[in-house]
Amino acid sequence: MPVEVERIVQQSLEEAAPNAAIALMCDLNFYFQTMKAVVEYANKQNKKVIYVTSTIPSSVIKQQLEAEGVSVSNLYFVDCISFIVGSTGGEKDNTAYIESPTMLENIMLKVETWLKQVGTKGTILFLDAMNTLAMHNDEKALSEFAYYLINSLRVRQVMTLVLSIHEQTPEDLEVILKLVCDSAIDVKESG
Amino acid sequence: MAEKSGGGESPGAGEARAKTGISGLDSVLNGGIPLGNLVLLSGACGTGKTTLALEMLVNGARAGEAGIFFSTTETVERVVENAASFAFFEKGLVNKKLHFYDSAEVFEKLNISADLSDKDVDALLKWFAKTVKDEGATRMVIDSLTGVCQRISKPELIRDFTLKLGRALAGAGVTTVATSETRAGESAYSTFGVEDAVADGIVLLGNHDSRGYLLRTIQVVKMRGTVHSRARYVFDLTSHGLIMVPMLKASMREG
Repeated sequence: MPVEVERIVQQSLEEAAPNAAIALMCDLNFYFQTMKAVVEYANKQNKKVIYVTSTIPSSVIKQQLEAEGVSVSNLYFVDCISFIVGSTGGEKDNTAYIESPTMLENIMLKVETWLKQVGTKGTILFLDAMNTLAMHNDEKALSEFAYYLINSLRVRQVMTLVLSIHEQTPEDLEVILKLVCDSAIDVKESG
Repeated sequence: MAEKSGGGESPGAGEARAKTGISGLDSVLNGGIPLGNLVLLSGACGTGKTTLALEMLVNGARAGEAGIFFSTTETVERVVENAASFAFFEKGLVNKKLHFYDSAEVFEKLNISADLSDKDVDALLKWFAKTVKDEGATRMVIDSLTGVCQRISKPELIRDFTLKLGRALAGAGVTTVATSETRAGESAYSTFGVEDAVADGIVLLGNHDSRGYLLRTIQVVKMRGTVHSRARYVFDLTSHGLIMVPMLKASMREG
């Protein structure tokens, strides 16, 4: 039975509180569709997205979304991957680069910098993805990072969406995500 | 996450504060710097002392508090030029709520020699008192206090100067931030070892090596008149000013 990724994601986000923290656990096959559904939801609601990427370079994300006709004008990137693969391609207005996904405090700082510029009202933080951050950081550091980030955004009424690929997420990390987030959305093959 | 400790005779939660305008820092200080405190901003070169001091002064000016920036390290033109690169700076405040003074010009006007005598120190203290009164200032930045103290040959006179300066400015209702240059890797908070004992507060800026990357850190070591966090935070200097976040325990372990 085909999985209606867009419907699952959008319905869940529409029903969530404005400052909810939601874990988006998706199968590898549905990674791009899930990511696209989040951006489309934000565009529909006219919300800005602070997009933290440690999975694929922000330039590739933009290309892929634009190829699907999805506007990227409301996206503000914290790109943790382009620097280490040597593809920053110079300064870009809507992208802040982090030299390594191990620099968790720097990720927090760049998120705060974007929040200062775009404001907290109507802003979503999208973390793509927890499993790729786990490749570079130990669990204790990641859980502390997630706990601080989610709670500091929650009190400022910012919605946080944390994406993680099922097949690549250690069980302990999945437990941590479910502990710090208000709810978890499973985007996977049913039955 | 922050550890709170008593910093003085009373918690001071309800007392008037000079808000720094830097959101994380005002939280750490339980609302801001207690009015009239002399605070040392200590750190090695390049740690962000001048920028942080300037941001506090400008934020005060934007809220209607006149401030004085006394520079011993750069000309006034250079200070204003550098300040203009920050989004928090408003050039229209210069000579209205923000007053910049170059120590070289002040020393020349007061006929102060290269080595400050007792008489020169008195003249300088009188100049500070008069200037804050003339400008109606309630905030002051001295950048750097080290630069002034280097011209005082006797250590006991440095202590005396710092004590009298703090008292004079506090008496005039002025909250003062003075930068203090330290050497990288040293644990001292001041060059001469006396300024930090006299100051009401010490905010330490530094660098922390975490997995091969240098993180800028800020820590309130002491602040009389208030409870405050003594935790170390990580910060960034952006075009919008200072942004700070807690330092993760993992980074502390690896440092």
